[in-house]
Amino acid sequence: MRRSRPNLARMVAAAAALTMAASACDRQGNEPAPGGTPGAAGGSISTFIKEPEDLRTLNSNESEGIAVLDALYATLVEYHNRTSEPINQVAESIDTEDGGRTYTIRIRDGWTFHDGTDVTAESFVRAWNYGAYGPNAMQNSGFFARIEGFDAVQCGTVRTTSEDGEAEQVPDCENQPPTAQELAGLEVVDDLTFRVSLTQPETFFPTRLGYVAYAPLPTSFYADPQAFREKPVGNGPFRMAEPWQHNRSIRVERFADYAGDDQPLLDGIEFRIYDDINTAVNDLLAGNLDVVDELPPERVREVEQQIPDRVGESPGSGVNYIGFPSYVDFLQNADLRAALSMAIDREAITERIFDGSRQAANALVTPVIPGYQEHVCENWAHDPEEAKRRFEAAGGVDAIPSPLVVWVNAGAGHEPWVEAVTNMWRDTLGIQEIDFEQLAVWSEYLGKLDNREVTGPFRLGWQMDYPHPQNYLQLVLDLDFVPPVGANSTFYDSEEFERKLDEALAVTDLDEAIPVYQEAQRIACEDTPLAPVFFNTNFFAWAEGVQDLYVNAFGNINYTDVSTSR
Amino acid sequence: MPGDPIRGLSGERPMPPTARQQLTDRYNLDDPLMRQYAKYIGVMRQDDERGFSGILQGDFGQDFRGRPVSAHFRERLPVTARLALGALGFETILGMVAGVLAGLRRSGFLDNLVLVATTAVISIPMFVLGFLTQLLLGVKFGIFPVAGLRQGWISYVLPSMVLGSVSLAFIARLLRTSLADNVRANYVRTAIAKGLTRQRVVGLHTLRNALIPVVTFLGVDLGFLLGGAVVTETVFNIPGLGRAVFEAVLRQEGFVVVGIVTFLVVVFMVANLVVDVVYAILDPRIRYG
Repeated sequence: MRRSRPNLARMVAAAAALTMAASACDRQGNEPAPGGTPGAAGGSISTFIKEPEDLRTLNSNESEGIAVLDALYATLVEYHNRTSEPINQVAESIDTEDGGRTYTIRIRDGWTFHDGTDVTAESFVRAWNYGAYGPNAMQNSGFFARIEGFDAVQCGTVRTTSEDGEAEQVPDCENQPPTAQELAGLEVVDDLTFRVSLTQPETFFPTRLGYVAYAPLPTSFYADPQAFREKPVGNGPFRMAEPWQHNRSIRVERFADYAGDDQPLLDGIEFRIYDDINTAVNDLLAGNLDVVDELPPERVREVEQQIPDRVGESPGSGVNYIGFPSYVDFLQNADLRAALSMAIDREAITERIFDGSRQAANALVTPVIPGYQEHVCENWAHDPEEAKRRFEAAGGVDAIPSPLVVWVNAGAGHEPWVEAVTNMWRDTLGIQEIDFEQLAVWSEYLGKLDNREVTGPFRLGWQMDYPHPQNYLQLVLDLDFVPPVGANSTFYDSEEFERKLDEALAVTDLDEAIPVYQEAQRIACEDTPLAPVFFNTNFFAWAEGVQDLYVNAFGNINYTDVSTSR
Repeated sequence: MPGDPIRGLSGERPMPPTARQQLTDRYNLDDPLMRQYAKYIGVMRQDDERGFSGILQGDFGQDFRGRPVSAHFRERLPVTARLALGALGFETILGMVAGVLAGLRRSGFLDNLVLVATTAVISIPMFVLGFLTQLLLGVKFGIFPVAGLRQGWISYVLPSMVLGSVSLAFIARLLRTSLADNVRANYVRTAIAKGLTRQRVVGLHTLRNALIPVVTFLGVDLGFLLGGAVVTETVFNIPGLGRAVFEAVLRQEGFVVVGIVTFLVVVFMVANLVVDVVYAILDPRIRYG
């Protein structure tokens, strides 16, 4: 423990911080970090990011942009930093009276944007309308798809013939403009209230609202959306200190009129843009950078050795799995799929390949989600004897093509564990001939999956958008959500599963819905369209003096919690 | 480039069809490659009225993020220019000193030292040299900044040295050989016979002639430096044109790569024009006219 001489100014600052931290506790429900005292206000830190694609809430959906937007915007709900539980933030209340079809959202009074204008119901409704409107071509438009009238604001399609002679439907905004300008399902009731009508009940709708696409936008956005990207105006704890310095840095500073209870302690954050995370890690080790929020797995042990007290670990929302595409003939045998899954020793992979820095997965829904089950059914657990039995029942080696082709995207660090999986298939099931189809270009790999061109088991992962079992079960396993709409890359098709899922979706109360989601997941497990292998873990490191740093399940840092003693 | 760059943009999450179509149209991704190129260069007209006229009209278009490629030039060219100038200065000065010392005392200790040192530098790939110096001089000893440009001109020192290292070796060797040839030339013997000081003989008479192959090399070297900048700028996280090319390749933004490379070719040609002019200054016999 470090001792320092008390001095008056510091004690006053600490006292002030304590009250602020205490109120933040009430709101966010966060306990102070173990052993740590709440940090003093003031100071600024630098943190690693890569160049974001965009800094507009409606057009940004990758981790880099969201890391910045989280600091710039406050959404209707925020997620608890540790449990990911949704908590009302800008929203005073979100109510439904008809089981999740319409929601009345009341927002708190007193919120302002960084340019001084008020946050009103209109700030949300207009932003969502803009995001959904087809010709605006916003990347996050899909987040509004469940709101009534979404189809009417989309462009019509025309039939064209692609290069390889296939007929396809292509959106054509010029000749087939949308029939409506605004979503019919959005209605401003008064200054601080608006109503949302969905096309079908969606009990988890409030859980979604913490996603940055649902953030409010000031009127200055519509004047020049292109320019807004360079210096976005938000309503969050920090505001842009200067325009985005492309490929160099994004600097934000404390917003004095921030209305949230989670007042930031830091005066500013510099998001420093790096190309290569290894360079950032070197910069951190040399003392030039304060925070790296995603240590590359292969450097975790090295960094831990060099700065043992300044490396943290937290569960992530990502799950990595081996998919068994349902359109491949030999994989249509359920015993065979189960055998392949049960032959995988997940513990051995996390221990030997990842040095214990990953968590073995026996479920698709990850541990950070309410309703997580450690064991779903025997098909997703390691059982070599049963695997052998099922494999023989399915016809053994004769039932699979020789060689068995396994698909993996190369260059992203997945080759070693996929190879380990195939070695287990070799040892346990006696499959001798296994070939790899390694694709180095990510987009090409995804294209093969989308177009059903994969010929054997493949590796893929999923990371949540919002903390709810639906986000995993429906988007990864429902036949309505095959690419390019969702992520059901195995093209899993089970009426029983979908019926159970629909049943779960109809239950408003999450606690009551959880057992039904669990049953749906069990059905999927019995069918084994995929085999979960491991859950991701976040590793992060910080410089001396940085306090209370935590990377949440989304892979983001809640900067209002962080403080620095420098 | 294989694959669909737009699919790569959106990753595991699907991109809305309208956004997808807008990007496909804007970059003519449905066209065959040659037509895409023709449209980008500007020899073939665009189908729609989006105001893009082509490189020939001085319009380099936009990247996938919707930023004009010319903004990359504006932001990044000064950075790369400084880096290249630093490298050029470093390699010229040090390379010439090493070359002169080695050339004047052939087979001596210095000559052998230069031979061994340059062989070593030439044989190490640039990214290895970059990471090595970064780790030793940056992280371990803290003499230079590890990465980025935040500490002003000193941030350029280490990357410039790494970038110029290979050319330095070439210059030293070129000059050594060229000098060794010229030292035995008749006009040098005459100069010595006239009783000129050794400094004047070497500096003004011998070196001036010996420099011609070096200057030729420097002109070609500029192109090499711009290529090397792709590696150096990525290792040292310097936001220059080299890194822009690297990023564009990763993101499959073919037209951005074409735009920047076209631009660099122009720079390269201008540099070679300068070299041709310098010949005339070094050796009046090569004046044209």
